[in-house]
Amino acid sequence: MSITVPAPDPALAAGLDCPLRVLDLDGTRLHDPLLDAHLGDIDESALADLYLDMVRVRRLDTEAFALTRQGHLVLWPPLLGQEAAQVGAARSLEQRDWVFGSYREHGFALLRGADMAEFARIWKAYAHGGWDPHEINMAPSQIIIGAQSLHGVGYAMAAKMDGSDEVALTAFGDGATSEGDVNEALVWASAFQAPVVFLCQNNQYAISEPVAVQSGGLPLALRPTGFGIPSMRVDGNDVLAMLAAGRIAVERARSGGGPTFIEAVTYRRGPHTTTDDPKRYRDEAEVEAWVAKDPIDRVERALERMGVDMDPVRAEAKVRADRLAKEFRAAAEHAEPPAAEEIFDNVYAQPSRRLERQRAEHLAFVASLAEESK
Amino acid sequence: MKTFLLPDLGEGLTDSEIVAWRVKEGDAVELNQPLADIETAKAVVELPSPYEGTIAKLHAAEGETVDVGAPLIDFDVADDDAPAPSGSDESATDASAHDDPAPSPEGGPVATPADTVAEVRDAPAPEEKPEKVSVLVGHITVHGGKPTRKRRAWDVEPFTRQERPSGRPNRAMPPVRKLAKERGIDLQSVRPSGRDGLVTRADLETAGTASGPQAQPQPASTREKVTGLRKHTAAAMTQSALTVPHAATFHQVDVTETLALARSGDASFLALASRAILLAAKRWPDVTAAFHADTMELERFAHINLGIAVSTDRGLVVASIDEAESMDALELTAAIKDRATRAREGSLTMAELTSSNITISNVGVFGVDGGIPILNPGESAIIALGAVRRMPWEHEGEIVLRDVCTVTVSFDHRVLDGREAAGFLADIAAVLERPALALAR
Repeated sequence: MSITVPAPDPALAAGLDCPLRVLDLDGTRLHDPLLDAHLGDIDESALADLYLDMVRVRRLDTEAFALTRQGHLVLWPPLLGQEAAQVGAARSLEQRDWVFGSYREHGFALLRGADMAEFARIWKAYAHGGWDPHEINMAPSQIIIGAQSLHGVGYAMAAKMDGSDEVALTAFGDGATSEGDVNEALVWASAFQAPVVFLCQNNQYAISEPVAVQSGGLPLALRPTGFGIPSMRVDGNDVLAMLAAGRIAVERARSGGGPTFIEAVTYRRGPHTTTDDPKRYRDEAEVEAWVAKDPIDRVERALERMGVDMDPVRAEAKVRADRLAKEFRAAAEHAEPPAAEEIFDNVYAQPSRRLERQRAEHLAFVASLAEESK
Repeated sequence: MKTFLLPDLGEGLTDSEIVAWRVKEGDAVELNQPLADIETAKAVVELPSPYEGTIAKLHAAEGETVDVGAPLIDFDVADDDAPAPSGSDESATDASAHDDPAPSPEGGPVATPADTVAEVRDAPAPEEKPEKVSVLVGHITVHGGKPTRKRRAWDVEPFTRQERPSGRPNRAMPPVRKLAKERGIDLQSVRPSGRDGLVTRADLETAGTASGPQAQPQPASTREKVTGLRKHTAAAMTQSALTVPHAATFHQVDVTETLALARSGDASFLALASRAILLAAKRWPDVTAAFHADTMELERFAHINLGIAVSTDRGLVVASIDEAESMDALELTAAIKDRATRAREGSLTMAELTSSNITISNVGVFGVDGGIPILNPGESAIIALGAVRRMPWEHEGEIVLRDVCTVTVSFDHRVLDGREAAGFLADIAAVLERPALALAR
């Protein structure tokens, strides 16, 4: 059986044949008229900053992974291999914009300025949300696959109604594109021309399911075109391509152009979470092939080609990454569990009489145990 | 010295198996260096080192199952960052931190000796004393970009929140409280082992026996937890015995010539017997096949991986000699010795413990003639060699003393019928009786 694909309008779907890329694997700067127009300000020091971001994100990820194995955190969904996709997209946003991500958006959390001590508490199962969403304009991690896309579209619709120029970015994975929530979000975003960016990090696996199982082998970037949403398919391991694609999408949204969908073609090199064993469903050779496309190595080579002395850059990156890792480790090791009565704290924004009564009952009960055992 | 307890490596696991150690006692290790491969019910995972230091003791051998929360590794940690005192800069600046306003980014705290500040500024990242507890005290935020010196003033605050749990009364679930009341045990006198200081039923049992000052009568029976290899063996044998229809066949064999051959050369009797088994298995290939009930398939293997049952201090293990059919008796002698030695050391790899497709059990070393062995799970035949006994036997028309041994074959009746099993056993016996026959096979 063959499926006939309607030839997509080039303006609506860029990169369908081959993901858009401006940094080759060996660090060569490739030219792409669409993306280059949004990278004019990126000089050596701007690229070095992106490099530092990615090194810190990776170090946070690997430290958290180790902390889980050492019993200091209970679960961790690693992002190893997806640093460029997150860093490039995160750096295309203004601080006033909002991010609605999944549970794997550690790069966004770090770059948006989430409190790492609070962040550690989430993965120690001591906190439901962790950071204050209004402080960093990033909603708490969403565990329900794809649900955050609806939240992002809703926020964007509200921003439009309020006449603000804020943009919402919602990040999800390849598996989420098969969920009803994401499809509904695409319908609403299209119908209301909401200022939202859909960032799909296609890391090739929905837990153990290869993406082809759900996509019929077609690019995921094709899906939004069916909703009338323009789409770009980008090399997710190319931080510059991701930054440019993000800027294009954000600019469209901010200037009233409506939603844009970005498929970042990348790869999850680690397990789905620390309780998953990917050796059961994929070959080591496949992972090795993606190691060769490492997003950080590529930028190192690009900087070297630009004539940058990498030794001090690497040294600086190491100092910052080590500091971050150490702070995160200390926070994870010393985090204390919350008191049980905190369960009543964040049910409603305003205190309710019923909840106050329940809290009082709970505290009285706890006190009664102490009485009884005297 | 720091003792690392095995954490829950999945979600809600109770134990994990040590597949392989990548370090040994006395090794110096770095933070996050891989120490071991550990198999949980969900995955085989790497354990990264929680400390930088030296491995003082490994509490478990490879292949052993360790309970979550049990000691796994002792570390000698040179730079002791435990809350234990001696951190002179900590105590020295303690008071000043409370009294003085936060220092400016450029100047250190007034009462802080200058070298403390210098140490912070100069110390390379891995050498820095961990910022540790300070980051949480008073909910001070940790932020990646902040310069180290700014945080310096907060470092000296003591970690106060730990006091909270110690002031709390012991708690217990209602049924446990009732039990405690019935037995007259004060909950506050019990050492809680549950989460968050919860007193469990088991704690009451311990408290109940420990607090009785009068002489305890000898209990009629005692129970101990079945763990490690014993637990594995129990599960494997139960599964095999309950899912595989076992049948067995015996044969008494005159092994005088084989024994003479073993005594005259360097090949052991067990290796020669293994050769006889391997020659027979080649003629009856289904004895090494595996029956897959879930898919109703019979899996046949290209090679004969001969499992040797070895009794160790920790229990019984089956160690495989892969592709044994290509070995001569001398090679088999060496391989059997190697497997037995390493089984007792606990240094067999996971592959060696799981790759066999037929097993030989030398029960004769315990002085018995035989028995009906339970199949090693996944295999279709197991051969038990009994003790070799000097006994009256018919030989060339006369009754003389000969060396006789009982050979037993247990088999999976789904794979093999009596005809095949008996044919297999008869072929083994023929070569053991007349080793020269091997030349013809």
